[in-house]
Amino acid sequence: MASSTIRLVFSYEGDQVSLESAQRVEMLPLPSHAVSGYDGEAGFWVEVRDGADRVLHRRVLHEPMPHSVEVFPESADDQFTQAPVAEPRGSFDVIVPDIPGAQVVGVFASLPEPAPPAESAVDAAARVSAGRIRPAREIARFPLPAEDGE
Amino acid sequence: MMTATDGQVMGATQIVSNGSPARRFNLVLVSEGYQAGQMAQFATDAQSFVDALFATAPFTQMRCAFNVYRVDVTSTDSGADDPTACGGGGGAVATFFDASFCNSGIRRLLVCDSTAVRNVVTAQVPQWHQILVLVNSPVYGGSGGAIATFAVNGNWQQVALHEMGHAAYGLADEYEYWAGCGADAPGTQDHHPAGEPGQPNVTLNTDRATIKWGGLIAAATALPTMANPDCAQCNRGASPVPTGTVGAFEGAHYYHCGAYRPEYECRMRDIGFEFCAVCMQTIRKTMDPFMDRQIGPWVGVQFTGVVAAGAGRTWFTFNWPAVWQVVWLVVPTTPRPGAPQIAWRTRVERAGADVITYWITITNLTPSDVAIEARYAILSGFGVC
Repeated sequence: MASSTIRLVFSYEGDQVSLESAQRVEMLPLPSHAVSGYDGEAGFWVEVRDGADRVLHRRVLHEPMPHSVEVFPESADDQFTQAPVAEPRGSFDVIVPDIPGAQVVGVFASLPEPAPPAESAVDAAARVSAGRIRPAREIARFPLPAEDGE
Repeated sequence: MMTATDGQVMGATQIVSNGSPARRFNLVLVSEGYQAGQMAQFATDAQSFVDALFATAPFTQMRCAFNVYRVDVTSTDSGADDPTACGGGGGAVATFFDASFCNSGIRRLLVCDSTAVRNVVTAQVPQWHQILVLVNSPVYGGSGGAIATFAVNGNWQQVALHEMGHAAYGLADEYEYWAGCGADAPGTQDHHPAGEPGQPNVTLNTDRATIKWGGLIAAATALPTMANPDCAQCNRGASPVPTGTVGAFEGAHYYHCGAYRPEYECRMRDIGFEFCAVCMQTIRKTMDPFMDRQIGPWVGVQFTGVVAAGAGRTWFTFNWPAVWQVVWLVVPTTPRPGAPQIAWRTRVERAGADVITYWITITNLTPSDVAIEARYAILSGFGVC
Protein backbone atom coordinates (compact mmCIF):
# COMPACT_ATOMS: atom_id res chain seq x y z
CA MET A 1 0.00 0.00 0.00
CA ALA A 2 1.65 3.22 -1.10
CA SER A 3 1.26 6.29 1.04
CA SER A 4 1.77 9.99 0.67
CA THR A 5 4.94 11.53 1.94
CA ILE A 6 6.44 14.98 2.04
CA ARG A 7 9.94 15.48 0.68
CA LEU A 8 11.56 18.26 2.67
CA VAL A 9 14.65 19.92 1.26
CA PHE A 10 16.73 21.86 3.78
CA SER A 11 19.71 24.09 3.24
CA TYR A 12 22.22 24.98 5.94
CA GLU A 13 25.14 27.24 6.57
CA GLY A 14 26.96 26.71 9.84
CA ASP A 15 24.25 26.08 12.44
CA GLN A 16 21.53 27.88 10.48
CA VAL A 17 19.05 25.68 8.67
CA SER A 18 16.28 26.69 6.29
CA LEU A 19 13.44 24.77 4.72
CA GLU A 20 13.78 25.29 0.97
CA SER A 21 10.85 23.22 -0.26
CA ALA A 22 8.20 20.74 0.80
CA GLN A 23 6.78 18.54 -1.93
CA ARG A 24 4.19 15.80 -1.59
CA VAL A 25 5.19 12.57 -3.31
CA GLU A 26 3.42 9.21 -3.55
CA MET A 27 6.09 6.97 -2.07
CA LEU A 28 6.95 5.09 1.09
CA PRO A 29 8.93 6.91 3.79
CA LEU A 30 11.60 5.23 5.87
CA PRO A 31 10.01 3.98 9.10
CA SER A 32 9.98 6.00 12.29
CA HIS A 33 12.50 5.57 15.05
CA ALA A 34 11.33 5.53 18.68
CA VAL A 35 9.24 8.59 19.49
CA SER A 36 10.03 8.54 23.20
CA GLY A 37 12.85 7.60 25.53
CA TYR A 38 15.65 9.51 23.81
CA ASP A 39 16.07 12.49 26.14
CA GLY A 40 19.66 13.64 26.28
CA GLU A 41 20.79 11.60 23.29
CA ALA A 42 23.30 13.00 20.87
CA GLY A 43 23.02 13.02 17.12
CA PHE A 44 20.65 14.42 14.53
CA TRP A 45 17.00 13.75 13.87
CA VAL A 46 13.81 15.31 12.61
CA GLU A 47 10.48 15.09 14.39
CA VAL A 48 7.01 15.47 12.92
CA ARG A 49 4.70 16.89 15.58
CA ASP A 50 0.98 17.55 15.84
CA GLY A 51 -0.80 20.64 17.12
CA ALA A 52 -0.43 19.42 20.72
CA ASP A 53 3.32 19.07 20.21
CA ARG A 54 3.19 15.27 20.32
CA VAL A 55 5.83 13.48 18.30
CA LEU A 56 4.17 11.49 15.50
CA HIS A 57 7.28 10.43 13.58
CA ARG A 58 11.00 10.66 14.22
CA ARG A 59 13.83 9.83 11.86
CA VAL A 60 17.46 9.70 12.97
CA LEU A 61 19.92 10.83 10.31
CA HIS A 62 23.68 10.51 10.21
CA GLU A 63 25.10 14.02 10.24
CA PRO A 64 23.32 15.71 7.33
CA MET A 65 24.89 19.03 8.43
CA PRO A 66 28.44 17.76 8.83
CA HIS A 67 31.15 19.85 10.39
CA SER A 68 33.57 17.14 9.35
CA VAL A 69 33.83 14.81 6.40
CA GLU A 70 34.73 11.17 6.07
CA VAL A 71 37.79 10.66 3.91
CA PHE A 72 37.67 7.33 2.12
CA PRO A 73 40.28 4.59 2.44
CA GLU A 74 42.09 3.80 -0.78
CA SER A 75 42.27 0.07 -0.11
CA ALA A 76 40.67 -2.46 2.17
CA ASP A 77 43.77 -2.25 4.37
CA ASP A 78 43.46 1.51 4.83
CA GLN A 79 41.27 3.37 7.32
CA PHE A 80 38.44 5.82 7.04
CA THR A 81 39.45 9.13 8.60
CA GLN A 82 37.70 12.36 9.50
CA ALA A 83 38.64 15.93 8.64
CA PRO A 84 36.98 19.20 9.74
CA VAL A 85 35.05 21.25 7.20
CA ALA A 86 36.11 24.88 7.21
CA GLU A 87 32.76 26.38 6.21
CA PRO A 88 29.88 23.93 6.66
CA ARG A 89 27.17 24.58 4.10
CA GLY A 90 24.99 22.51 1.83
CA SER A 91 21.58 20.89 1.63
CA PHE A 92 19.87 17.67 2.59
CA ASP A 93 16.58 15.89 2.06
CA VAL A 94 14.25 14.24 4.53
CA ILE A 95 11.18 12.25 3.56
CA VAL A 96 8.47 12.22 6.21
CA PRO A 97 5.03 10.61 6.15
CA ASP A 98 2.08 12.85 5.40
CA ILE A 99 0.26 12.17 8.67
CA PRO A 100 -3.18 13.64 9.36
CA GLY A 101 -2.85 16.25 12.09
CA ALA A 102 0.87 16.77 11.57
CA GLN A 103 1.68 20.46 11.77
CA VAL A 104 5.39 21.04 12.18
CA VAL A 105 8.76 19.45 11.60
CA GLY A 106 11.49 20.05 14.17
CA VAL A 107 15.18 19.69 13.42
CA PHE A 108 17.36 18.45 16.30
CA ALA A 109 21.13 18.40 16.17
CA SER A 110 24.30 18.02 18.19
CA LEU A 111 26.55 20.76 16.93
CA PRO A 112 30.03 21.94 17.88
CA GLU A 113 30.83 25.27 19.47
CA PRO A 114 31.52 28.01 16.92
CA ALA A 115 35.09 28.06 15.72
CA PRO A 116 37.28 30.66 17.42
CA PRO A 117 39.52 32.86 15.27
CA ALA A 118 42.80 31.35 14.15
CA GLU A 119 41.98 27.87 15.41
CA SER A 120 44.64 25.20 14.96
CA ALA A 121 43.84 22.02 13.06
CA VAL A 122 44.23 19.96 16.24
CA ASP A 123 41.86 22.23 18.16
CA ALA A 124 39.36 22.16 15.28
CA ALA A 125 39.36 18.38 15.26
CA ALA A 126 38.81 18.22 19.02
CA ARG A 127 36.04 20.82 18.91
CA VAL A 128 34.17 19.17 16.05
CA SER A 129 34.67 15.67 17.42
CA ALA A 130 33.29 16.65 20.84
CA GLY A 131 30.49 18.70 19.35
CA ARG A 132 28.84 15.80 17.58
CA ILE A 133 28.15 14.04 20.89
CA ARG A 134 26.64 16.92 22.83
CA PRO A 135 22.97 16.30 23.66
CA ALA A 136 20.94 17.26 20.63
CA ARG A 137 18.84 20.43 20.80
CA GLU A 138 16.10 21.74 18.56
CA ILE A 139 17.76 24.11 16.13
CA ALA A 140 14.79 24.88 13.90
CA ARG A 141 11.09 24.26 13.50
CA PHE A 142 9.04 24.70 10.34
CA PRO A 143 5.33 24.41 9.55
CA LEU A 144 4.39 21.55 7.27
CA PRO A 145 2.38 22.46 4.18
CA ALA A 146 -1.37 22.35 4.38
CA GLU A 147 -3.04 19.36 2.80
CA ASP A 148 -3.37 20.80 -0.67
CA GLY A 149 -0.62 23.38 -0.54
CA GLU A 150 3.08 23.58 -1.03
CA MET B 1 31.19 26.41 -13.50
CA MET B 2 28.50 24.18 -14.89
CA THR B 3 26.79 25.46 -17.99
CA ALA B 4 24.19 24.11 -20.35
CA THR B 5 26.97 23.28 -22.77
CA ASP B 6 28.75 21.05 -20.27
CA GLY B 7 26.58 18.08 -21.12
CA GLN B 8 23.09 16.72 -21.47
CA VAL B 9 20.54 14.73 -19.50
CA MET B 10 19.77 11.71 -21.66
CA GLY B 11 17.10 10.13 -19.43
CA ALA B 12 16.51 7.41 -16.86
CA THR B 13 16.70 3.63 -17.31
CA GLN B 14 15.37 1.22 -14.72
CA ILE B 15 17.97 -1.50 -14.19
CA VAL B 16 16.31 -3.33 -11.28
CA SER B 17 12.54 -3.45 -11.41
CA ASN B 18 10.31 -4.76 -8.65
CA GLY B 19 7.10 -2.93 -9.25
CA SER B 20 5.71 0.49 -8.56
CA PRO B 21 8.20 3.05 -7.26
CA ALA B 22 5.47 4.06 -4.84
CA ARG B 23 6.11 0.82 -2.94
CA ARG B 24 9.88 0.28 -3.24
CA PHE B 25 13.13 1.80 -2.06
CA ASN B 26 14.28 3.71 -5.10
CA LEU B 27 18.04 3.91 -5.57
CA VAL B 28 19.35 6.17 -8.33
CA LEU B 29 22.82 6.01 -9.90
CA VAL B 30 23.81 9.15 -11.80
CA SER B 31 26.71 9.63 -14.20
CA GLU B 32 29.17 12.51 -13.96
CA GLY B 33 32.23 13.08 -16.11
CA TYR B 34 31.23 10.49 -18.71
CA GLN B 35 31.33 11.71 -22.28
CA ALA B 36 28.60 10.61 -24.69
CA GLY B 37 30.83 7.89 -26.05
CA GLN B 38 31.47 6.57 -22.53
CA MET B 39 27.87 5.89 -21.51
CA ALA B 40 28.23 2.16 -22.09
CA GLN B 41 31.00 2.27 -19.49
CA PHE B 42 28.65 4.05 -17.10
CA ALA B 43 26.08 1.30 -17.61
CA THR B 44 28.76 -1.26 -16.76
CA ASP B 45 29.88 0.71 -13.69
CA ALA B 46 26.30 1.08 -12.46
CA GLN B 47 25.68 -2.62 -12.90
CA SER B 48 28.85 -3.40 -10.95
CA PHE B 49 27.42 -1.55 -7.95
CA VAL B 50 24.10 -3.36 -8.26
CA ASP B 51 25.98 -6.67 -8.31
CA ALA B 52 27.99 -5.66 -5.23
CA LEU B 53 24.88 -4.49 -3.39
CA PHE B 54 22.95 -7.69 -3.87
CA ALA B 55 25.98 -9.83 -3.04
CA THR B 56 26.19 -8.13 0.38
CA ALA B 57 24.22 -9.34 3.38
CA PRO B 58 21.52 -8.50 4.29
CA PHE B 59 20.69 -7.11 0.82
CA THR B 60 21.06 -10.65 -0.54
CA GLN B 61 17.63 -11.32 0.92
CA MET B 62 15.90 -8.10 -0.04
CA ARG B 63 16.46 -7.49 -3.73
CA CYS B 64 12.69 -7.29 -4.17
CA ALA B 65 12.57 -4.20 -1.96
CA PHE B 66 14.59 -2.15 -4.45
CA ASN B 67 14.05 -0.41 -7.69
CA VAL B 68 17.34 0.81 -9.14
CA TYR B 69 17.55 3.48 -11.82
CA ARG B 70 20.40 4.74 -13.93
CA VAL B 71 20.20 8.40 -14.89
CA ASP B 72 22.38 8.97 -17.94
CA VAL B 73 23.94 12.43 -18.02
CA THR B 74 26.68 13.13 -20.51
CA SER B 75 29.50 15.60 -19.95
CA THR B 76 31.57 17.54 -22.43
CA ASP B 77 34.77 16.33 -20.83
CA SER B 78 35.75 13.20 -18.96
CA GLY B 79 36.73 13.13 -15.28
CA ALA B 80 36.59 15.83 -12.61
CA ASP B 81 38.53 18.95 -11.65
CA ASP B 82 41.73 18.05 -9.80
CA PRO B 83 43.24 21.26 -8.39
CA THR B 84 46.98 21.56 -7.90
CA ALA B 85 46.34 23.19 -4.50
CA CYS B 86 45.87 19.70 -3.07
CA GLY B 87 48.56 18.06 -5.10
CA GLY B 88 46.32 17.19 -8.01
CA GLY B 89 47.24 17.28 -11.65
CA GLY B 90 45.51 20.61 -12.21
CA GLY B 91 42.93 19.32 -14.63
CA ALA B 92 39.89 21.61 -15.04
CA VAL B 93 37.21 19.84 -17.05
CA ALA B 94 33.74 20.76 -18.25
CA THR B 95 31.34 18.31 -16.62
CA PHE B 96 27.61 18.51 -16.09
CA PHE B 97 27.63 18.51 -12.26
CA ASP B 98 30.97 20.32 -11.91
CA ALA B 99 32.61 17.56 -9.84
CA SER B 100 35.88 18.55 -8.18
CA PHE B 101 38.44 17.09 -5.84
CA CYS B 102 40.17 19.17 -3.16
CA ASN B 103 37.08 20.38 -1.34
CA SER B 104 37.91 21.85 2.09
CA GLY B 105 41.52 21.45 1.05
CA ILE B 106 41.27 17.65 1.13
CA ARG B 107 42.65 15.96 -1.97
CA ARG B 108 40.32 12.95 -1.89
CA LEU B 109 37.18 14.91 -1.05
CA LEU B 110 35.27 14.77 -4.32
CA VAL B 111 32.07 16.81 -4.39
CA CYS B 112 29.67 17.82 -7.13
CA ASP B 113 26.82 20.33 -7.36
CA SER B 114 24.33 18.45 -5.20
CA THR B 115 21.53 20.90 -5.94
CA ALA B 116 21.88 20.27 -9.67
CA VAL B 117 21.98 16.52 -9.03
CA ARG B 118 18.85 16.70 -6.90
CA ASN B 119 17.01 18.72 -9.53
CA VAL B 120 17.93 16.37 -12.37
CA VAL B 121 17.08 13.21 -10.41
CA THR B 122 13.83 14.60 -9.02
CA ALA B 123 12.74 15.37 -12.59
CA GLN B 124 13.64 11.86 -13.77
CA VAL B 125 12.78 9.72 -10.70
CA PRO B 126 10.59 11.79 -8.36
CA GLN B 127 10.31 8.99 -5.80
CA TRP B 128 14.04 8.60 -5.14
CA HIS B 129 15.35 7.66 -1.69
CA GLN B 130 19.11 7.56 -2.25
CA ILE B 131 21.35 8.95 -4.95
CA LEU B 132 24.86 7.78 -5.80
CA VAL B 133 26.82 9.93 -8.23
CA LEU B 134 29.41 7.91 -10.15
CA VAL B 135 32.29 10.08 -11.31
CA ASN B 136 34.35 8.80 -14.19
CA SER B 137 37.78 9.61 -12.79
CA PRO B 138 40.95 7.58 -12.29
CA VAL B 139 41.73 9.72 -9.22
CA TYR B 140 40.52 8.09 -6.03
CA GLY B 141 37.99 9.93 -3.86
CA GLY B 142 34.41 10.74 -3.02
CA SER B 143 32.06 12.03 -0.33
CA GLY B 144 29.07 10.77 1.63
CA GLY B 145 25.54 11.98 2.27
CA ALA B 146 22.10 11.38 0.79
CA ILE B 147 23.65 12.43 -2.50
CA ALA B 148 26.92 10.52 -2.21
CA THR B 149 29.69 10.86 -4.77
CA PHE B 150 32.32 8.30 -5.77
CA ALA B 151 35.16 8.24 -8.24
CA VAL B 152 34.72 4.94 -10.01
CA ASN B 153 37.95 3.15 -9.22
CA GLY B 154 39.52 1.08 -6.46
CA ASN B 155 37.15 -0.14 -3.75
CA TRP B 156 34.44 2.37 -4.57
CA GLN B 157 31.57 -0.13 -4.39
CA GLN B 158 32.61 -1.20 -0.89
CA VAL B 159 32.94 2.39 0.28
CA ALA B 160 29.54 3.17 -1.25
CA LEU B 161 27.96 0.42 0.84
CA HIS B 162 29.46 2.00 3.98
CA GLU B 163 28.11 5.40 2.95
CA MET B 164 24.66 3.91 2.31
CA GLY B 165 24.90 2.59 5.86
CA HIS B 166 25.09 6.21 7.02
CA ALA B 167 22.72 7.89 4.60
CA ALA B 168 19.91 5.39 4.20
CA TYR B 169 20.05 3.53 7.51
CA GLY B 170 21.40 6.10 9.97
CA LEU B 171 24.32 3.93 11.08
CA ALA B 172 27.23 5.49 12.95
CA ASP B 173 30.91 5.04 12.28
CA GLU B 174 32.26 2.30 14.52
CA TYR B 175 35.92 3.18 14.23
CA GLU B 176 37.65 4.46 17.34
CA TYR B 177 39.73 7.37 16.06
CA TRP B 178 39.34 10.64 14.20
CA ALA B 179 42.32 11.28 11.95
CA GLY B 180 43.56 7.70 12.13
CA CYS B 181 44.98 5.29 14.68
CA GLY B 182 48.19 6.90 15.91
CA ALA B 183 47.47 10.08 13.97
CA ASP B 184 45.22 11.85 16.47
CA ALA B 185 46.65 14.56 18.69
CA PRO B 186 47.47 13.07 22.12
CA GLY B 187 44.51 13.03 24.47
CA THR B 188 41.88 14.20 21.97
CA GLN B 189 40.18 10.87 21.28
CA ASP B 190 40.92 8.93 24.48
CA HIS B 191 37.55 8.96 26.27
CA HIS B 192 34.10 9.36 24.76
CA PRO B 193 32.32 12.20 26.59
CA ALA B 194 28.94 11.60 28.20
CA GLY B 195 25.97 11.58 25.85
CA GLU B 196 24.43 8.44 24.41
CA PRO B 197 24.66 8.48 20.61
CA GLY B 198 21.30 8.30 18.88
CA GLN B 199 22.50 5.83 16.27
CA PRO B 200 21.64 2.14 16.75
CA ASN B 201 25.13 0.64 16.44
CA VAL B 202 27.20 2.52 19.02
CA THR B 203 26.60 2.98 22.74
CA LEU B 204 28.11 4.08 26.02
CA ASN B 205 26.02 1.49 27.88
CA THR B 206 27.28 -1.97 28.85
CA ASP B 207 24.33 -2.94 31.04
CA ARG B 208 23.00 -6.24 29.72
CA ALA B 209 19.44 -5.32 30.67
CA THR B 210 19.36 -2.01 28.82
CA ILE B 211 22.00 -2.06 26.07
CA LYS B 212 20.45 -1.19 22.69
CA TRP B 213 21.23 -4.51 21.07
CA GLY B 214 20.72 -6.70 24.13
CA GLY B 215 18.45 -9.07 22.25
CA LEU B 216 21.39 -10.18 20.11
CA ILE B 217 23.81 -10.84 22.99
CA ALA B 218 24.11 -14.43 24.21
CA ALA B 219 23.82 -14.95 27.94
CA ALA B 220 27.32 -16.43 28.06
CA THR B 221 28.96 -13.42 26.38
CA ALA B 222 30.77 -11.15 28.83
CA LEU B 223 29.95 -7.42 28.92
CA PRO B 224 31.99 -5.55 28.07
CA THR B 225 33.28 -8.20 25.75
CA MET B 226 36.56 -6.47 24.99
CA ALA B 227 38.04 -3.54 26.87
CA ASN B 228 40.79 -1.23 25.75
CA PRO B 229 43.63 -1.42 28.31
CA ASP B 230 45.29 1.75 27.00
CA CYS B 231 42.88 4.56 26.25
CA ALA B 232 45.69 6.64 24.77
CA GLN B 233 45.55 4.56 21.61
CA CYS B 234 43.42 2.28 19.45
CA ASN B 235 43.15 -1.30 20.58
CA ARG B 236 43.85 -3.45 17.55
CA GLY B 237 44.44 -6.58 19.62
CA ALA B 238 42.81 -9.86 18.67
CA SER B 239 39.19 -10.46 19.55
CA PRO B 240 38.70 -12.61 22.66
CA VAL B 241 35.61 -14.23 21.16
CA PRO B 242 34.83 -15.98 17.87
CA THR B 243 34.02 -13.92 14.77
CA GLY B 244 30.36 -12.97 14.71
CA THR B 245 29.92 -12.80 18.47
CA VAL B 246 27.70 -9.87 19.45
CA GLY B 247 28.70 -8.09 22.65
CA ALA B 248 30.20 -4.73 23.55
CA PHE B 249 33.67 -4.01 22.17
CA GLU B 250 35.32 -0.89 23.53
CA GLY B 251 36.47 1.63 20.96
CA ALA B 252 33.86 3.21 18.72
CA HIS B 253 32.33 6.46 17.49
CA TYR B 254 35.76 8.14 17.13
CA TYR B 255 36.98 7.38 20.69
CA HIS B 256 39.39 4.79 22.07
CA CYS B 257 37.46 4.22 25.30
CA GLY B 258 34.00 4.73 26.77
CA ALA B 259 32.06 3.89 23.60
CA TYR B 260 31.24 0.39 22.40
CA ARG B 261 30.48 -1.32 19.10
CA PRO B 262 28.48 -4.55 18.74
CA GLU B 263 31.05 -6.82 17.07
CA TYR B 264 34.78 -6.85 16.69
CA GLU B 265 34.51 -6.08 12.99
CA CYS B 266 31.86 -4.46 10.84
CA ARG B 267 31.61 -2.67 7.52
CA MET B 268 30.88 0.50 9.51
CA ARG B 269 34.38 0.16 10.98
CA ASP B 270 36.41 -1.22 8.06
CA ILE B 271 35.37 -1.73 4.45
CA GLY B 272 36.95 -5.17 4.30
CA PHE B 273 34.19 -6.74 6.39
CA GLU B 274 30.47 -7.50 6.30
CA PHE B 275 27.89 -5.51 8.22
CA CYS B 276 27.66 -6.71 11.84
CA ALA B 277 24.47 -8.31 13.15
CA VAL B 278 23.20 -5.08 14.70
CA CYS B 279 23.70 -3.10 11.49
CA MET B 280 22.03 -5.89 9.50
CA GLN B 281 19.08 -5.87 11.86
CA THR B 282 18.77 -2.10 11.46
CA ILE B 283 18.87 -2.41 7.68
CA ARG B 284 16.24 -5.15 7.74
CA LYS B 285 13.90 -3.09 9.92
CA THR B 286 14.34 -0.07 7.67
CA MET B 287 13.73 -2.04 4.49
CA ASP B 288 10.81 -4.07 5.85
CA PRO B 289 8.10 -1.64 4.65
CA PHE B 290 9.49 -1.89 1.12
CA MET B 291 9.12 -5.65 0.94
CA ASP B 292 6.03 -7.64 0.07
CA ARG B 293 3.92 -8.59 3.02
CA GLN B 294 3.11 -12.21 3.61
CA ILE B 295 -0.65 -12.55 3.87
CA GLY B 296 -1.13 -15.61 5.88
CA PRO B 297 -0.06 -17.70 7.47
CA TRP B 298 0.81 -20.15 4.73
CA VAL B 299 -0.17 -23.61 5.93
CA GLY B 300 0.23 -27.03 4.38
CA VAL B 301 1.46 -30.62 4.67
CA GLN B 302 5.14 -31.01 3.91
CA PHE B 303 5.32 -34.83 4.06
CA THR B 304 3.40 -37.95 5.04
CA GLY B 305 4.58 -41.45 5.97
CA VAL B 306 4.42 -44.38 8.33
CA VAL B 307 6.44 -44.87 11.49
CA ALA B 308 6.86 -48.49 12.49
CA ALA B 309 5.65 -49.75 15.85
CA GLY B 310 7.86 -48.56 18.68
CA ALA B 311 10.36 -47.05 16.26
CA GLY B 312 11.55 -43.58 15.29
CA ARG B 313 11.97 -42.01 11.87
CA THR B 314 13.53 -38.74 10.68
CA TRP B 315 12.55 -36.54 7.77
CA PHE B 316 14.21 -33.33 6.67
CA THR B 317 13.19 -30.43 4.51
CA PHE B 318 15.78 -28.03 3.17
CA ASN B 319 16.41 -24.65 1.53
CA TRP B 320 13.66 -22.87 3.42
CA PRO B 321 14.33 -19.12 3.57
CA ALA B 322 15.80 -18.12 6.89
CA VAL B 323 13.57 -15.05 7.06
CA TRP B 324 10.46 -17.24 7.31
CA GLN B 325 9.13 -17.89 10.78
CA VAL B 326 8.00 -21.51 10.71
CA VAL B 327 5.95 -23.61 13.12
CA TRP B 328 5.83 -27.42 12.68
CA LEU B 329 3.09 -29.77 13.85
CA VAL B 330 3.04 -33.55 13.36
CA VAL B 331 -0.22 -35.46 13.78
CA PRO B 332 -1.15 -39.15 13.47
CA THR B 333 -3.59 -39.99 10.70
CA THR B 334 -4.17 -43.57 11.91
CA PRO B 335 -7.01 -43.53 14.46
CA ARG B 336 -6.16 -45.23 17.78
CA PRO B 337 -8.18 -43.78 20.66
CA GLY B 338 -7.08 -43.85 24.28
CA ALA B 339 -3.47 -42.67 24.45
CA PRO B 340 -0.89 -40.52 22.71
CA GLN B 341 0.50 -42.23 19.59
CA ILE B 342 3.52 -40.15 18.67
CA ALA B 343 6.04 -37.63 19.93
CA TRP B 344 8.24 -35.51 17.73
CA ARG B 345 11.06 -33.08 17.95
CA THR B 346 12.33 -30.50 15.50
CA ARG B 347 16.01 -29.75 15.05
CA VAL B 348 17.20 -26.86 12.94
CA GLU B 349 20.28 -26.42 10.77
CA ARG B 350 21.44 -23.06 9.38
CA ALA B 351 22.54 -24.60 6.10
CA GLY B 352 23.61 -21.31 4.54
CA ALA B 353 23.51 -17.59 5.12
CA ASP B 354 19.95 -17.41 3.86
CA VAL B 355 18.55 -20.93 4.23
CA ILE B 356 17.40 -23.33 6.92
CA THR B 357 17.10 -27.12 7.01
CA TYR B 358 14.54 -28.57 9.42
CA TRP B 359 15.06 -32.10 10.77
CA ILE B 360 11.92 -33.67 12.23
CA THR B 361 12.22 -36.94 14.17
CA ILE B 362 8.99 -38.77 14.96
CA THR B 363 8.76 -41.52 17.58
CA ASN B 364 5.93 -44.06 17.53
CA LEU B 365 4.78 -44.62 21.14
CA THR B 366 2.49 -47.53 20.30
CA PRO B 367 2.88 -51.27 19.45
CA SER B 368 1.29 -50.63 16.01
CA ASP B 369 2.42 -48.79 12.88
CA VAL B 370 1.20 -45.19 12.76
CA ALA B 371 0.66 -43.03 9.67
CA ILE B 372 1.52 -39.38 10.15
CA GLU B 373 1.46 -36.08 8.39
CA ALA B 374 3.80 -33.17 9.10
CA ARG B 375 2.15 -29.79 8.82
CA TYR B 376 3.74 -26.37 8.66
CA ALA B 377 2.57 -22.84 9.27
CA ILE B 378 4.74 -20.03 7.93
CA LEU B 379 4.24 -16.89 10.01
CA SER B 380 6.29 -14.18 8.39
CA GLY B 381 7.48 -11.54 10.81
CA PHE B 382 9.40 -9.71 8.09
CA GLY B 383 8.57 -8.96 4.54
CA VAL B 384 9.55 -11.60 2.05
CA CYS B 385 11.15 -11.67 -1.36
